[in-house]
Amino acid sequence: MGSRSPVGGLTNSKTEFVTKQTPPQCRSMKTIDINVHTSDRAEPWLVKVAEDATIEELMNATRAAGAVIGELEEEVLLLVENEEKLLKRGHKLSDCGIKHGQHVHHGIVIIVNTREKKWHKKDISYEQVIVLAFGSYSPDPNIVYTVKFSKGLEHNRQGSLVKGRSVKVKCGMIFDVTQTNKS
Amino acid sequence: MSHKLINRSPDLKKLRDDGYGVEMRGAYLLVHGVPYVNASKEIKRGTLVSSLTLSSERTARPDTHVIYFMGEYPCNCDGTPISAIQHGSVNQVLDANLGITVNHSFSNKPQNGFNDYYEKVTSYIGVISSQAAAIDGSVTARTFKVIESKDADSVFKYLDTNSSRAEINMISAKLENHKIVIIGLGGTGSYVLDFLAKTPVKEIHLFDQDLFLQHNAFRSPGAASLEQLETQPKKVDYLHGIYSNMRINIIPHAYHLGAKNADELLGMNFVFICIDDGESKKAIVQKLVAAGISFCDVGMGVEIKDGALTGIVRATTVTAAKSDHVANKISFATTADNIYSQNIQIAELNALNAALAMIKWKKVIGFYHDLGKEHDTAYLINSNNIINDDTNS
Repeated sequence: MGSRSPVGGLTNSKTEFVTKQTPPQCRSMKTIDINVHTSDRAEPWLVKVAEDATIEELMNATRAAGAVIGELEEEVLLLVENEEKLLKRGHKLSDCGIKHGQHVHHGIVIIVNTREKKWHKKDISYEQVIVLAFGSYSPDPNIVYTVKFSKGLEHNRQGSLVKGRSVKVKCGMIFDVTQTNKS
Repeated sequence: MSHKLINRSPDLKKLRDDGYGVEMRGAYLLVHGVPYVNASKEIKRGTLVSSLTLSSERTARPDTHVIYFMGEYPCNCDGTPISAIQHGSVNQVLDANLGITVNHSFSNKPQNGFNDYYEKVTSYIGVISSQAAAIDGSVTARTFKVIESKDADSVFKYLDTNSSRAEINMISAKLENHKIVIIGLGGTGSYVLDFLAKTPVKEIHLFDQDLFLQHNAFRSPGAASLEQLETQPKKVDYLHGIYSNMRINIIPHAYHLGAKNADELLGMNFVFICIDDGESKKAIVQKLVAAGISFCDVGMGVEIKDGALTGIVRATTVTAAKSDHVANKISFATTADNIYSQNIQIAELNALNAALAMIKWKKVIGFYHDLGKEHDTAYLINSNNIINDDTNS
């Protein structure tokens, strides 16, 4: 059961999922196994959750299994069987089409200075690209990085990021970031 | 008497562009390097000399079909004189001051005379040189030999036949009268000079205090010799020496340009900033923006990733009309900020960076069309993309 590469030939799903409020007493006791891939380990975590668990519950269970996962945002970017999905934390697995035995990648993979990086949010900022590339960001106003992207979303395939600006991400999007001050 | 006359006269221009050894000397047209056969059946080269009829500083219809010749009497390939053009064979001083002494004169009048000097010259060359070509087919009067420029107005030491042959003199003229500065003569700055030296700009000022060292030779145009490196010249002096072969008005300033002396840029028309030092760059940029002087800041960032190189090559242009992108695009990081960063530069990336800057400068002054109106251009090595930015003004 090797880790599957999420890069290549993927489309951004814009499917909206309806969250149904189910009373706790009616919840199915049936559990399913999900292979959750996280950025901190090559092998996926085998996570057991209720069939009608929410995305938040799935991620909490993954965290309980030992994965290092940061605070969940309201929206979570997941790759479900290699399909990119932007989900709300309250979405139910069954409504998202996440079934027993499937592989779910927490976050998508973008490429920063030729290296694959996991990203869990729908947007990425100038500052965040720099942190992904170099591990830290200096707020010194004199220091300017050149941040460029290509293979972005259809309406914004390539372009620049400058201080304070963000761009919507897409699986396989390429970022180049460096100081350009050598001549 | 100069290439201005040649440029105004289509017949002379055609002679020159076809590669004939055209020289204007006083009121005479000299065509050097015309092959002929002498009485000993040897191939020699002589000079045709023609008087010129001028009207409004351009050639008019030739008033005589007679032409002069410097050399032995031209013969057929068997060594017998070409009698059909015989006219006179007395040494004749046409202009002592200009050193024009001819040995023969020829006459071969077409029925209606010659329409222009191209027709006149090529007609005689046809008669004389065809005999030489009969002996050696590779011999031609179209020598494309370098013609010295004697135009007092020109910055070049020989004629810019690249522009005249392509008939873009009028467009190249847009580059004249500009005073251009290159700050920093490292890899990219020296390539900027390489391109700039070949334009007719009025003055090229070079600012750099550093020595031209061994590693510089590997990212500058041309090929420095070991002997040149051993003298440890200043970069500006080394480059001034080379490019002065071609043009005048390259002015070396072998000192640092920064906050203290940025005023020296006032009165210039365009500045190429090719330095790494953020502190000086900040002072220079502030000075230029305040003075409304256009400039281009260049720079690259190259990194090693998994045993290969990747990075970005950037050229950011600022004009009096567009400077709101400076804060987002030009880094003033100091050398201390970059103490851990590598300084990787590769000659073709330096050349590309210089080319991006040059193209944009030429767009700014209307040499090239500019529909993109970008003021920031970045070439991404790994994806081979060029990303244009700051298109609003």
